[in-house]
Amino acid sequence: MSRSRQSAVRQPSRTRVDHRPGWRRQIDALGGPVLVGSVTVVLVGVFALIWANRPGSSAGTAPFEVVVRREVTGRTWGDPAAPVRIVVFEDFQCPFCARYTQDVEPALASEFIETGKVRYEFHHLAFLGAESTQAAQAAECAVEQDQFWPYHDLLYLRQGRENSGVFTAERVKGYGAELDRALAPEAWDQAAFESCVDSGRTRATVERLTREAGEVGARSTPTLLINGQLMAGVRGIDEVRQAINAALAGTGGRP
Amino acid sequence: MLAAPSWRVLLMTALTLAGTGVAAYLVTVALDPNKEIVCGPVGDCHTVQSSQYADIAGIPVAVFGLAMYVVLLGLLGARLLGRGGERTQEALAQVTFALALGGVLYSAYLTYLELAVIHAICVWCVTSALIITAVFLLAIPDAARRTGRREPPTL
Repeated sequence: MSRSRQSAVRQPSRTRVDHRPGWRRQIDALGGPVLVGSVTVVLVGVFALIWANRPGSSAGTAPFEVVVRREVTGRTWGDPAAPVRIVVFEDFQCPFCARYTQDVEPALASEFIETGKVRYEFHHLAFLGAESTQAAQAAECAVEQDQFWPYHDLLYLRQGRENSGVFTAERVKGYGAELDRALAPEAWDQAAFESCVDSGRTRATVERLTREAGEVGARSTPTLLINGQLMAGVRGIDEVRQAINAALAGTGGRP
Repeated sequence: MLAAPSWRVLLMTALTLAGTGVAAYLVTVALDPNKEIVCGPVGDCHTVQSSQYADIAGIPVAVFGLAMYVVLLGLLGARLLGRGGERTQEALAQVTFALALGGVLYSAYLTYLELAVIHAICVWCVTSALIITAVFLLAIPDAARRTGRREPPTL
């Protein structure tokens, strides 16, 4: 300020000498530091808000490991001659199903399924919106490759908030690619999987299974059907163990 | 000396007050899970408010909207009261413009989400979007007034 005043005094004929550095002139041409600064801060803020809530941002990121299961056929797992038959109605977007799958199912597997006492069948009840149906359709495409169960595990691992872009067509294909990397090369055909997801040809199956779930009285997920007995709102393995043992006693199976 | 507040500032203040009311209502709805939202004849506010986009890291989007309106009210209040010199008033006008610009851009994004992703329209959210758009348009002239007028110091 004082410099410019001095120079102005010394050179009265050149009162319009511009002493501002180039960058400052550019900022002033855009409206000055306050305008440029506040617009920049606000734009960064808006971008941060949008980025924080981008589609799919709620997906789980836990590392995926393939669990070995014996006697698997499609969505069915366990000895076909097992005395107890359990059908489990689930929706891949249902948070309680994810918890059930991670907390109850492993115990169920080691105690009853892998020991030949229970034949266990996954049954779609895709009722929580478009991404439920999309995830179920993709899981049916995994059935075509005999890889329903690992894909099922992966979907629950990647579950996010409902209809948040976690199970869009693009994303479910991406989980296929993730499975492709985890499985043996010949166990998974990603191109066939993608074309199955794109075709939507499994939609009818998902819709039929969801309708059938309603017909047998399953209204919420997870719901178990243990030798014809409905059990909704599964709280823990103890409850399931009790019901299975009762069913085993009823069929004359080993306790 | 400072001129009397322009009609634009008065109108922006009135609009911002209305926007604050709308945002405050949306915040109370967002924070109370049992409260049913009162909705106009069009749209589906419940779907919008219960979608994953209705909050960011647990904070309802409406809270950000309310915060923006409250800051805008502060800026406009300072302009109405004629606080500071001309430079301060210019700066206030420019920050008002920047904040309203951010509000318009984020509202545009949210409206896009409602139309294209959630497939449901929340009348209150659209009302807020229209209010902030009007405030933004009214904020342009005062913020632009300084542009190009800045001359090298003379004496």
